[in-house]
Amino acid sequence: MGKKYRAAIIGHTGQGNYGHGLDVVYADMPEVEVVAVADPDPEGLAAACKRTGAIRSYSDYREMLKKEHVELVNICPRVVTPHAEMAIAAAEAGAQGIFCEKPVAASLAEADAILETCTRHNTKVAVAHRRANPYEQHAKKLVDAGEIGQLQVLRARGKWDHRAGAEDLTVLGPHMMDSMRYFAGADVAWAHAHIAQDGREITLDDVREGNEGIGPIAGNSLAAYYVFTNGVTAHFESQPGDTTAKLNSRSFGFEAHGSEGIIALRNSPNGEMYIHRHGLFIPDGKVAWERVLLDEWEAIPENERTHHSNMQIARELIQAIEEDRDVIEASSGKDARAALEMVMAVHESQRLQGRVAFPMANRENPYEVWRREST
Amino acid sequence: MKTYRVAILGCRSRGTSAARVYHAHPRTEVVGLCDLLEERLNTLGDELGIAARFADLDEMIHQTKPDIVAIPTAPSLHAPLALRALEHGVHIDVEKPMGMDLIETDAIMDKAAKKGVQVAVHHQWRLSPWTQAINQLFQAGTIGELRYIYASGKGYYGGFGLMEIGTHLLTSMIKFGGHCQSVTAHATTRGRPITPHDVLPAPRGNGTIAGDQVTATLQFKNGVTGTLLQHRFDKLDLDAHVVELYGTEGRLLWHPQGAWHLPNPHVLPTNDLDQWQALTPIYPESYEQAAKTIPGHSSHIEGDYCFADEYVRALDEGRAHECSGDEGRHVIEIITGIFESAAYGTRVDLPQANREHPLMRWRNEAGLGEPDPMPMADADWLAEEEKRLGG
Repeated sequence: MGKKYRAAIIGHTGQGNYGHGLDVVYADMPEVEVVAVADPDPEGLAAACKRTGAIRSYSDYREMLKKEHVELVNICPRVVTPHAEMAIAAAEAGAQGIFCEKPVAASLAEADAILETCTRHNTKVAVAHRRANPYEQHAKKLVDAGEIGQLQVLRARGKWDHRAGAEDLTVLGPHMMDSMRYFAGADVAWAHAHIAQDGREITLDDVREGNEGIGPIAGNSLAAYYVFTNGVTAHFESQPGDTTAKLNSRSFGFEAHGSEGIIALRNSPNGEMYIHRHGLFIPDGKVAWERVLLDEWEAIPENERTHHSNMQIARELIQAIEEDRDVIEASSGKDARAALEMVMAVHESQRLQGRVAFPMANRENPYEVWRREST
Repeated sequence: MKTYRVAILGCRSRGTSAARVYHAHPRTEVVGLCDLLEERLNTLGDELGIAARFADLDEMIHQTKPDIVAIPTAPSLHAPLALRALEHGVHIDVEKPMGMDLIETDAIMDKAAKKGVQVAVHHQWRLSPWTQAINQLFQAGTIGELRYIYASGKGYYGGFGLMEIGTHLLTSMIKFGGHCQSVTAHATTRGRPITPHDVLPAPRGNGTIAGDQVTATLQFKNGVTGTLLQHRFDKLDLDAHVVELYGTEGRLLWHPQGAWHLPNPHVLPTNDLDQWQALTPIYPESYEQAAKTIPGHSSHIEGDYCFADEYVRALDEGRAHECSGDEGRHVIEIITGIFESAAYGTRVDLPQANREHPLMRWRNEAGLGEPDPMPMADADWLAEEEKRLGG
């Protein structure tokens, strides 16, 4: 057996808890031992220790990082506000790898600070985006192999639920942005977006504080348009849908349109994949959508698939540490920053009423700049 | 009821089609044909039994006194011939695109207003039986609130496609989405963003264009947005163009050979949800009888007939044709907005104050003059473009 890694878990009960199961990802990974958990909430901490099998517990994650000298740190809270401080502290404490809940940070400035520190300390970063799903990995291989001809357009949508618009974009959008950029195989050259509240263009009065520390947001419907440096274009839409329909979650996903076919990837992270072997969808019955099933993945109960996706990310993180390379088959810190930049560009485009060139010059939340400039 | 007198200017394929439907419609009568090529003139005149044949437009109008002059000519002649016809105080049916730039479309609208006559721009797909089927469900609120419109072309060289099938797609988009408030677009030539050197005269003399792949996003009122793809395919697919409407409660998809309704708003192609229902085309009352006298049947002919039928109803009711000059001009506003956005990298708010062609302005600002002439025929044009780009 190879090296045994020591991991520490940072959670915060009542403040985003432990994310989407990032605390228990190592339960089925014998190569990793969870040695400590930090959580300011005593009851939450006790429960987390029991769940993870951690030997020691801390109310302060900084103290834990100082004393434990672990190789892996999982930053679990869904509330994004402390992500940057936690990641920087972990890298400075000598962690070799960080597994972070998405979004990686609340602003591009914070993401820059994380990456700068992690680069300086050679700390690898993996973020819990759902490109780490067997269907997405399979589809990416098909696209790269030319199965749908020349890739032309990517079309994504959020969940269109009660969070439709800006919250959908900020909470679920990063998954789509990361996946679309991954499939396009290039960085974004520029973006443009249009945000509306109840059908009219937003104003500063519509700006509100988003949930989970995502910062100021606005609008309940939006359309974003991206152009990658290789000419591939992408779209992201979030509109108020039928909030009672559970199908919104299954519809969440994206389509890759190629000159000879279309691949649809839906219902992330469980995953549903379909292929249409013609570049244009016409419901005349001549070409039908085919469902693609990966038996090994389908054999996993649905409620365990997020866990398996998390394990895929964790294994890729460890592989990246061992090979001293970037995380590739999951979303790296740089990828996550790029996904966040695609999200921020939507707000920035609305503020500037025009195209936004990448990399973005403004690293702050665009609404904070807008507010400041209007006073 | 009045029978409207129609004169046809140009007897090539589109003119032949126009003449056949105006001839077949019970409320219109073709009173004159005009073409510079005698053989074409005689072939069509003999087929329809029309003796009034002319080589001169003004003479034809003077002698036949038409209510409507149809102008299905080469694109670059649309505006000059429309202006000449309008001078006589007749309504016109001008083939798309309405003009090569906004200076031309404005001139047509000004002249029509002065003469108190109608301008209709020949966007036959907007009135086709399949579009009527879509429209019936759309107007009944079957798909709930409109959220998003998607349209894609036939695979022509992008900028050319925009001036060609793109005009049809855009007029359908504005039929359902209303006038467009702003556009943002991207155009590439061989995968790289266009430069002023890529500004070219289009095939078939169809204006000034740039880019083999053009992607545009359109913003309508009420937060509705749209996407228009004009991407060059390796192989042209003349039936590939679609317009799809996404609503809060369902979707509608239009295609030249059919129309479908999806009674749910979801995008999951599963068996239980992907149940697209084929719609039944809706024809004008007179079509069945009239169609018996029209040689050859095609979805083009059907659309042309619906267009003529709408003209009759519009003139009867003293209102504008659904494909009015205002609508046709707005299509050109969107197209020039798309080119401007792609060239200058900005969002373009519509209608634009500057009516010059933005691509020519872009070339001039780069110190380049008029682009070199290009062949008119599609294949020759593409070969020349390959040569320009280095094989």
